Amino acid sequence: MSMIRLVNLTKRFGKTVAVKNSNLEIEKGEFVVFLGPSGCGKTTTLRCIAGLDNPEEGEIYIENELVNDLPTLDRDVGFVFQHYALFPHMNVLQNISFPLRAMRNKKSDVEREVKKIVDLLRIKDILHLRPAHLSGGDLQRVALARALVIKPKVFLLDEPLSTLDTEFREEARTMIKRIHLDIGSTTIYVTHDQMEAMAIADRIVTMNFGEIQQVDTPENIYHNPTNMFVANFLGSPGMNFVDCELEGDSSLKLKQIGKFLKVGRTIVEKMKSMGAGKSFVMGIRPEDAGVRVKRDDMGFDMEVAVVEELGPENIVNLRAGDQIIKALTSPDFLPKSGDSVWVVPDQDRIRIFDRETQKEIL
Amino acid sequence: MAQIARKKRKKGAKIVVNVIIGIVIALVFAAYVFPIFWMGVSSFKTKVQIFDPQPKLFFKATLNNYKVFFGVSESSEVGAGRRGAATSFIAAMLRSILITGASTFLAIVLGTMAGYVLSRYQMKAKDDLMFFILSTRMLPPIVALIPIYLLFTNMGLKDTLAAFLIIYTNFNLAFSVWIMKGFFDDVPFSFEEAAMCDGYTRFRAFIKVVLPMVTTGLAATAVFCGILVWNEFLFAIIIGTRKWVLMPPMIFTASYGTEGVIWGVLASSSIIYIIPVVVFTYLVRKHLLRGVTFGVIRG
Repeated sequence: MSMIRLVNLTKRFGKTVAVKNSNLEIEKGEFVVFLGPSGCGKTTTLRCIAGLDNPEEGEIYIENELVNDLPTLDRDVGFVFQHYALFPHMNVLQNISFPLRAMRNKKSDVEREVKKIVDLLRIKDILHLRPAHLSGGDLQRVALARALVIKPKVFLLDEPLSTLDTEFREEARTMIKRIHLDIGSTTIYVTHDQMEAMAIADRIVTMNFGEIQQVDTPENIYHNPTNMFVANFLGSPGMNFVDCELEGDSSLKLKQIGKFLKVGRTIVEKMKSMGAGKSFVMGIRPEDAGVRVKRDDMGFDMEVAVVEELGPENIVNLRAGDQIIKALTSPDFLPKSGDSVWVVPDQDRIRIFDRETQKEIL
Repeated sequence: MAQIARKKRKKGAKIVVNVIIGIVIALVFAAYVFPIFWMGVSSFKTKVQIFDPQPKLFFKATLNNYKVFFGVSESSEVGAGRRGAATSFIAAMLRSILITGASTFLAIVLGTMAGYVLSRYQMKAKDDLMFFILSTRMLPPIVALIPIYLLFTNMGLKDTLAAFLIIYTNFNLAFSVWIMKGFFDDVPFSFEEAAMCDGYTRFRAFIKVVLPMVTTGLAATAVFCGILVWNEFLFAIIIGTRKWVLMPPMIFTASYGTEGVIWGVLASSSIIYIIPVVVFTYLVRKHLLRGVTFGVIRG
């Protein structure tokens, strides 16, 4: 049974379309991440699910119940805001028990529920403090506690880590995932950080310009992106793109580089089937670029521009004309600027996109 | 070496600046406080002492002026006030407190509700509406005095509690709407959204979450509105002629004797009239100085 279902969801703000005709199904207990650049509609979609924004068109179902006209307070959602929105005039304990007091629960029940969540998040020693005196990490944990204390059907997080320092971010990320597994909630998590998304998601929903681009597991989305946007947005650095066309029966002409690359039958046949006169883009991930010092006829040569040493790996920037290709190499591979090296892409990892529609054809 | 010298010079300059600032503050403070000091001293003097061309710092104080205020003693001066009449000082004082309190309360309740709606909801011609509200304060009140007098007389509202509440609430409404809207604008909407996610209705979110965050605004508005009504003289003397005589006209009329102004009584009643405002402002001073939201909204 699907927990949340969006059918043709459309939300406009004046003339701008924030969410365009979105369809999505989320299963019970799933951890789904909405990923995309700022302004892509991910937060708006989340707010529509919570009932904080009302869509112009389309339907939202929670547990097969149409909730379009249900006010936020009846939707049974827990929401963590980007800036936490903890109430400054209440201490941590009052903040956490606030949702329970909404329902006029018995005092003993309130105390029991609060204690459970306080133990789960390990925030016992800050209960008497006001939000103004808390660190970023503590604020975030209190916000999580307040959202979770009523055991919501759906747990919604809007960029909860964006205001944290980098050092706490990974720790907090792991904590959120642990809590999700502990309480078995259905979680939707909004972020613009592809690494965060890859790390915690069961499924990633990539969005751009208000449209859902691809919904899949992190692994599939990374290796089989449906279009150039997804290919470039995931991965750091993103996928390299080289304009190309078919040359003969077994090789690609790489236009800006001015070189040829031998490719396998499947790629050639697929490109042929798209019809003549089409232009294509070859995509290759930096870790699959395969840089060699020795001449290799399965690849092509480029000039080394800059080498960035990251520690566990190096990014080698290769240049030919206007084209730059970024390649990930082992840390002991340290060519000098101006050296000539050979790029031998992993044949199985080469992706071909239609230049016009930007969609993957393979 | 040169650096140390420069530092020393800088430090010296800082002291000089601080001294100058101190002197200026002292002068301004004296200018504000001296009239009140003079009035306070005069309220303990007899008529002869008040008119002494060489006023003494130490003198034999009399409580007679205060006794007149509380009706214990009558002024020795001929024709002092309408003593013994229904318009005793204490009754006028209570009426002033009632009207100031009630009209300030009304102005704040209405202003808070209107300010919240204007701050949060989309509506057509909002700016025009805001301007219209403000425009009610653009005329000097005296321009509206005669029309209001005629209107209230014809409606039978003259010399009634309702008349004062209507006029004074109206006076303050524009101010309270604008100030409260400003304070609500500073409260991020996500606080209400958070409360609604927590299971609260919009109205309960407003009461439980938003209102406690604007106590500074409420206190500031209350002080401003309260003082304006407390000190209002023009409408008080025109509307409240018999039953609803308020303190400002009371002080004015009661301190006129046949021999001219009775300065002692004028001073004592004015000093007493200041006390409630001072006490009220003192009580809310904490809210005037800092807001509870200070330093919490991060971004």
